[in-house]
Amino acid sequence: MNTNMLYGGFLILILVAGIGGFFAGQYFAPVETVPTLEGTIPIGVIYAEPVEGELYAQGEKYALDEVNAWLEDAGIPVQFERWVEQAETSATKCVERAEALIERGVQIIVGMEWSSHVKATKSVFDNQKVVCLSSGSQSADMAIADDYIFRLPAPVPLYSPSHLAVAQDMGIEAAIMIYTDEPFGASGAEGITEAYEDAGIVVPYSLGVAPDTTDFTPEVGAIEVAYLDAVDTYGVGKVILDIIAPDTILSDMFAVITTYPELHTAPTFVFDAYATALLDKAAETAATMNVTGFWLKPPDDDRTQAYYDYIVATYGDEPYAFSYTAYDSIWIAALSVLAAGEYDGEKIKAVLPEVTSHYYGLSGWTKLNDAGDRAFAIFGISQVIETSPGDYEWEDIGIYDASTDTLTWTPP
Amino acid sequence: MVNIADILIPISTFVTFFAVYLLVSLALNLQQGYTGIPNLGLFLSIIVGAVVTAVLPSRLAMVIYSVPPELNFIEDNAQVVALLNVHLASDPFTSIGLLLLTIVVAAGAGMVTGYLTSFFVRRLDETYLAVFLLALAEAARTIGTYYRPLAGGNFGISMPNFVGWFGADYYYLGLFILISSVSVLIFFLTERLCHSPFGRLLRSIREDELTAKTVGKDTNRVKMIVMALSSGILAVAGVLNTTRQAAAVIPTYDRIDFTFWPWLMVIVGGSGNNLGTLVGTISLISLRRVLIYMKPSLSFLPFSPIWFEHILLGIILLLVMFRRPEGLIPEKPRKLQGP
Repeated sequence: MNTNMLYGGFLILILVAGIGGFFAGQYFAPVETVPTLEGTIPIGVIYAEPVEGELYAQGEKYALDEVNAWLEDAGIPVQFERWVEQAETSATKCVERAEALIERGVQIIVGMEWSSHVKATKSVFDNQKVVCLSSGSQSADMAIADDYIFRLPAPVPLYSPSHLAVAQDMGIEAAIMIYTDEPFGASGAEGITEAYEDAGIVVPYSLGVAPDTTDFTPEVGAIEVAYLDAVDTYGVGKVILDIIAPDTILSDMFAVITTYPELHTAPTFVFDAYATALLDKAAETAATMNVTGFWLKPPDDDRTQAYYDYIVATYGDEPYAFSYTAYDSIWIAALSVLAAGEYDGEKIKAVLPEVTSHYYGLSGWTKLNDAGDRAFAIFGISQVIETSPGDYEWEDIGIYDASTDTLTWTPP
Repeated sequence: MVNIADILIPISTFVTFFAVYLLVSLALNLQQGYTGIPNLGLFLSIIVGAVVTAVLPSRLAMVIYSVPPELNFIEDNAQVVALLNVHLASDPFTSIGLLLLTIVVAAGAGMVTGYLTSFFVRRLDETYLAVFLLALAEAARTIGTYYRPLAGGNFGISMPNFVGWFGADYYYLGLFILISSVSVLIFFLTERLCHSPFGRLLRSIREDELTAKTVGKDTNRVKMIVMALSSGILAVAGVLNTTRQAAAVIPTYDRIDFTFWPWLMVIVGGSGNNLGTLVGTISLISLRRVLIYMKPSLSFLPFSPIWFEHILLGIILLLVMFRRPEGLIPEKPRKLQGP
């Protein structure tokens, strides 16, 4: 037998074994499901992309250790484990991974950070009656009632009142809206604009920018013209820039704004606080313009501090903003399974809203609205501050509680 | 008692996923395997099919079922889809009619796309052509991703359920029947085409285009037909995948999943014969699934098992390329039939 035939035969053997294994897997797969609550119960995890996924994983692993230790202490014969998959940014792979996890018996999947992935996978969850508990999806158009999708982060529309409250407190009369021209940025800008205009704050100029833009020179030129026009009418300090864009775009834009000194008198709101690239590229300008960001604030308590200390000690960096919801997703998944009394997606779906309404996690109170999305949020308000000569950091300056519409400034 | 859905769902999800990829691989095999046209932009025509599915059947259904005109399919997507699903669940004839119409229109749109790109196939040599087709497909993907009125842009749109009339328990049976029957039909049509005199002409162009020209064959016209036919098949794959996911998310149609993977399937299976393409496609998709199943037992690896799939598939590709470059089922030399 010649070598080629040997290798060919070997390859065919592998592939035939693969096909056979697949169908054998189907036959034996039910063994992996856990019909009653004992033994090890899987919680499926699908990450949209590798780097961000690792940051979500920090919160999930920490929560899983807590859950399992608690179950052991309580003498409950159940342990949970994460079955992790990676969609590698592809919605097609996300669907494939979700299907495979479900075929292996998984009844609840967390992670699912991207709204596009949630949308592509929605029919799989709904038709197979498996719960999706997203730790990152915020898009307004995924707010659909009575489906199997639940989302823990603050959806985009929840941010509008926080921007309005701070703008009113500052006595702002006009806002220039800048946003990435895709559903996330556009719907965020639309919601905030509506809130401003309803409250009598004029929005004389809105600018959508392409999400893949890297040189913002023409855009910043146009923003400067609009800002100066507005300042002529309303005065310096009465006009803000409100930028709804991810950190990468924000930092590229600020790199250009640095060279437009007329804009440096404009107080600026950004969508997410703790934008690290912004500090890398244009910290001084950001501090000069009092760049103010908003974020889903974890409660100030011992549990949050313990988590923060652990993440800093273990990974050498502060917790990722969404790792708090990732932490909560594991606890809520585990508690929902226990409350359901059976590892069954339909039963988990039925009890999950009640569980979230009684759960106060690292991301605060997780009560959901009718669409299965977070109903209330407490936003931290942070500003870029020069902490020592040449050193700039995000510092917390206040809190906005959306459930009570209360703005509280932190004493300096 | 065994629940029928427990058996049906995994089989259906696997077979329908395979069936979509089979069409993509078949189209590539027709272009590259039989005719020697190196297409790195397969996802161009798939996007065309997905866009037709996003645009056509839902709007028609909105008219048929008198959905209030103030509702916009993109902006009020969830609301419109919920309304349409109620109607479609009790109206199999309209559901089937809309699906068939979508497949026909998408195939036509794909063929027009293929016809237009064929002008460049005639004028560019292999390397430039491959890169040009890739660039063209990327441009289509960029437009689909950022132009929201087309198919919801970056986040995509949910689609109504055109097989909902099978009922919740048999939804996956409906998908299985629809997608696999279309794929099987196209497979046999392609197989028939490739074994016809036209198929032999394709091989002669792939082997030596100059000789084919010198015996009076219009090779440019033949390439145009191949591009049109295969692009039509790709567009149908786009329709089926969109129907399968019940969502049109254009960014998902990228070069890795919808060009490089099909290339791997054709290479592993054996280029220039449809049976090899079928074997390559089913083997790689099965292997991917098995690896996903095995991940929990691979925790002993010194790296995250998430990446094991890529490593193993890379090893298999290298083995095939070095040891069996003609693929698992090599193309058989054809015997000339005497008079």
